[in-house]
Amino acid sequence: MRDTRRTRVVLSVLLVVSLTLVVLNLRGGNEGLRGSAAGIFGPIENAAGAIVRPVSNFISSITSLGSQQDQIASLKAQNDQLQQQLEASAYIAGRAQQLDDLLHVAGLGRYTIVPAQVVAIGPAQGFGWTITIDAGSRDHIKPEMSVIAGTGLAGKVVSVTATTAVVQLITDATSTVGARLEGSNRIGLLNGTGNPDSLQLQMLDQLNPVKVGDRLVKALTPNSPYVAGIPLGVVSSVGGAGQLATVTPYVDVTALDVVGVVVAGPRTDPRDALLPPIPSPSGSPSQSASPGAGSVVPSPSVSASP
Amino acid sequence: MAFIRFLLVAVLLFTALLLQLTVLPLFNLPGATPDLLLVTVAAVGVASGPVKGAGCGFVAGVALDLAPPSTGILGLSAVVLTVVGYLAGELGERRDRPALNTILAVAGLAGGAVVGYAMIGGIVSDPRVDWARVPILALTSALYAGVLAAFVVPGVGAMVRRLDPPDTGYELGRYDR
Repeated sequence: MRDTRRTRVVLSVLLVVSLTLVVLNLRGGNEGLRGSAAGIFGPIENAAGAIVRPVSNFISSITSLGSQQDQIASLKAQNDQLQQQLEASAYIAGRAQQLDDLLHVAGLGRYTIVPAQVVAIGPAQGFGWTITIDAGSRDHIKPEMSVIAGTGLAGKVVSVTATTAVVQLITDATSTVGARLEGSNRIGLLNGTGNPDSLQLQMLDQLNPVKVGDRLVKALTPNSPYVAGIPLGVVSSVGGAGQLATVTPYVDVTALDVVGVVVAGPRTDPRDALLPPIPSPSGSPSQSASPGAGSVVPSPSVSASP
Repeated sequence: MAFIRFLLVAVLLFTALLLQLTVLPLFNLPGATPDLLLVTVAAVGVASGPVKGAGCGFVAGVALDLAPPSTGILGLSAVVLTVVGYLAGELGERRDRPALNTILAVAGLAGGAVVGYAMIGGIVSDPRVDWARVPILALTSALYAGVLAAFVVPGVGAMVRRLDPPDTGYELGRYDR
């Protein structure tokens, strides 16, 4: 029981000191003491906090691992979805552009068109150039109607079912289109060769040779399945006596996607109104083109009148 | 069982025809369009023998000639693919051939088929036949067919052999009826 006495002494001393502190505090006298204590403990607490914080973060991240995984998965799914939308919008923009081109040509030429999607393409090793489109007699499409794509003539309808139609392209070797030189009344026959990038032009008029760079539109000929005025192509090389020429078609038949079937032609021949504007003169094609050809840049207001 | 085998080959040919007309042209490869139908016919021939190969080629050819957008001569593809199926069947009879030889043979058949199309077309004076384009078409067609054959021939072979053991003689002419 020796310690009891000592304990009491220590206890009473500590109580007295504590009470003294309380009294001092009540009188507002130990600010300096608290300030120096804060000066010592503050940095230590900071250091301890700096050590503890990552540990506690780690612990909380372990406990919330499942929910983070869920979040990552949902963000990934969202990302995939957005990526798909982005790609789809690029595709949609491409289609919109093609439809725009069709509408532009149809508007200039006052054609009534039915837009259609290419759904099947005949194999090249069959030597023919034919495609299937997803519009048929249900969409008022009949055989012999003209088919345009972008800025030029693509071909004509050869057979129709209720919901599809087969189109023979102008590059098919059995295809013949009556062609007229831009800004003149000289006509010729434009035949397919089986090559996707060249047609053969045979001018009926033997006196005036055609020149490289001359542009061709569909001629207004009776009993022709094709409506007049659709741009056909540009003369790329001239052979022989100048009445046989190779023509590059305006339409790239190897990259057809959206086409338009002309279900009603214009009341009057639009002449050269549908040809694209001639690009600013540069390079050899415009050099070799005749000055006459350069002066007949189509202006819709002039050439639309018959 | 015979009906299931028939159904399998019909589904294979129909799928190949659809893919060839709708999907494969979109790749816009230079020269010929990859001839998946021909490779499938050859694969069936290799797996099932010359008679079934020829029958399968005939059916596939008529289907190709009839399916839009075909406007060519009806029966042209049927003739060519019948021969292709028959020759592929003859090839399949020799069991000890290495796989590469089969691929090369199918590529050769595809190239030969282009020449066949041009020849028969020329005989019936189809104005579309252009001999100047035949070499490049035959070459590219052979190339694409070789690539396709590396996948299609083993795949179709495994499927067909599973349901359709090689000809045993008394089954000859099953497709001819």
